[in-house]
Amino acid sequence: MAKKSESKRKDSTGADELLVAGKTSGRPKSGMSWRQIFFSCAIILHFSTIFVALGSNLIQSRLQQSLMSWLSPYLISTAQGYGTTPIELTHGEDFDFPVQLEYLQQGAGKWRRINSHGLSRATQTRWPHLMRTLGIVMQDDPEAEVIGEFLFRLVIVAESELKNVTAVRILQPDRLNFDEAKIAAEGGEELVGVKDFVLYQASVVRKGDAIVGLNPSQERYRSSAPDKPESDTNAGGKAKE
Amino acid sequence: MMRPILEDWQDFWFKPKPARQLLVARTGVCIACLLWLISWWMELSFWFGDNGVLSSEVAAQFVAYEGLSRWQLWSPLWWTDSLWLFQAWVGLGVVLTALVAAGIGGRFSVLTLILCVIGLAHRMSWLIGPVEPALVAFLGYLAVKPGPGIQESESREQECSWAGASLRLLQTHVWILIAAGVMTQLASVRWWRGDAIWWLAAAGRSNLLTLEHLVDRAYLVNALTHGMIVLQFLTLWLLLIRSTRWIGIGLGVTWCLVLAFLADYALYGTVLLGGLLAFVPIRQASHSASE
Repeated sequence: MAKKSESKRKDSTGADELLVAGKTSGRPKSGMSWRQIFFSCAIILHFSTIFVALGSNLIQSRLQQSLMSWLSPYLISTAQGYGTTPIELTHGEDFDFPVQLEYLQQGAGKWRRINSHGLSRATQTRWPHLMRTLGIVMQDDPEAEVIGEFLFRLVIVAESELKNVTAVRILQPDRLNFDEAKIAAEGGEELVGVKDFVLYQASVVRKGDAIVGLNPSQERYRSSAPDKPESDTNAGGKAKE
Repeated sequence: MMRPILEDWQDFWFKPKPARQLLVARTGVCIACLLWLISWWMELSFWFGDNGVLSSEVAAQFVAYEGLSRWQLWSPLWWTDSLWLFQAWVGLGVVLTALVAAGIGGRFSVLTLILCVIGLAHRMSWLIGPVEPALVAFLGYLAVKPGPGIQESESREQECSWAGASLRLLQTHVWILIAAGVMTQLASVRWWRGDAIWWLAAAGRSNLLTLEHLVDRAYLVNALTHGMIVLQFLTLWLLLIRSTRWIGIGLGVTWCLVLAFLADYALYGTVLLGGLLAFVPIRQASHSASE
């Protein structure tokens, strides 16, 4: 019975049968086939690149920067690049807090927040993730053209649903630490949104009904005094012509 | 000196394992892939299409800002902003996921699904998170040996060295991901000081916890933060020991739940859970039956 099942197994496994170490193939246990040797090299290379990618996720040394530039074609083209993905979940740094996008409609005196339309909570993480990346870009290069381009696109999208959007702004949330929050809670104060400050603000430029660009306007529109150096908060995006 | 090392290497990566064990992990990874695709289906019109936030023009600007070559982010989804193409792409992904889960089409189905997932991931640009790299890697490991079809009861029982290699790749990657997570967490004083969970909630990135819940509960904040670190270390340790592997898997599942509910990484938790199933030990039934 056992012999019968073994011969059946040999028939059905085909090429894989040769790779079964030891007993069935008749090879010495230490002898690897060429396929196994090739595969072993691929394993070492693959996990080495993954190791470098994950190790470079927080801060990159010069060696890591150099390695990443070499490995980038493999990592990016196979979607293995971790970029700014927070695999640490949080470090409580400024860039860990997604920036908030708000818009102002004509006639409305109150700014309203833009959120993802996701139906489930799970998918809503994409919006905060994008806002976190946007926040990192603003910290890195407050005048990056990509910020204005993205907001311009967002205003056009929002206009199709909301109508008469006159301005848009990006807020940097400034969260309280545990001790500050405890004091605030005891005093009956709000825990969120108290010290948020404006990183970027732009008014919508129209030609007739069509939106043609954004006109950035910063300091005089700040909702509260920033507690950061001027250079950090002096955001700017290029108006689209 | 080299001989024992090579023997151990071969034993670790190529020790024959029952294909049935692969079936469990494959099903888990496919469920995670399906949920990922469904989550996209629900949001396609918000992100993509003519009225989407991430038009190809804006996404191309993101890519240019990062200084990446466009060829590295290959995807047919760059060609047009037409929403139907995105819908067809995700629909194709769902069909391929079902085929891979059922073991139909072998490596061809798995490789086509990988191309489908990478194509969408590349077009996502800045939306890419921890889910996509893990998902693509896990599917790639299944391509080494996709495992038997759901109706091939005989081949499920067969031991195969490539099934062993596929499982080892999944196990190793899951282990590395958990290890990388805990190592980077401990690079910050927040995790040592025990208030990291507070900052997670403060960033609006916790499905269950809000600042109002936590503000009067310092011990809870500390316990959850330290507990998360301990949980990851225990998972990593116990997964390595054969006799405690089931406990390690249980703790790993708990970690996935923590990721989903406390850290707002529901999809990443699901993908990790799918990969974790590669650790589930399954005894071969044919030996006892034939004897």
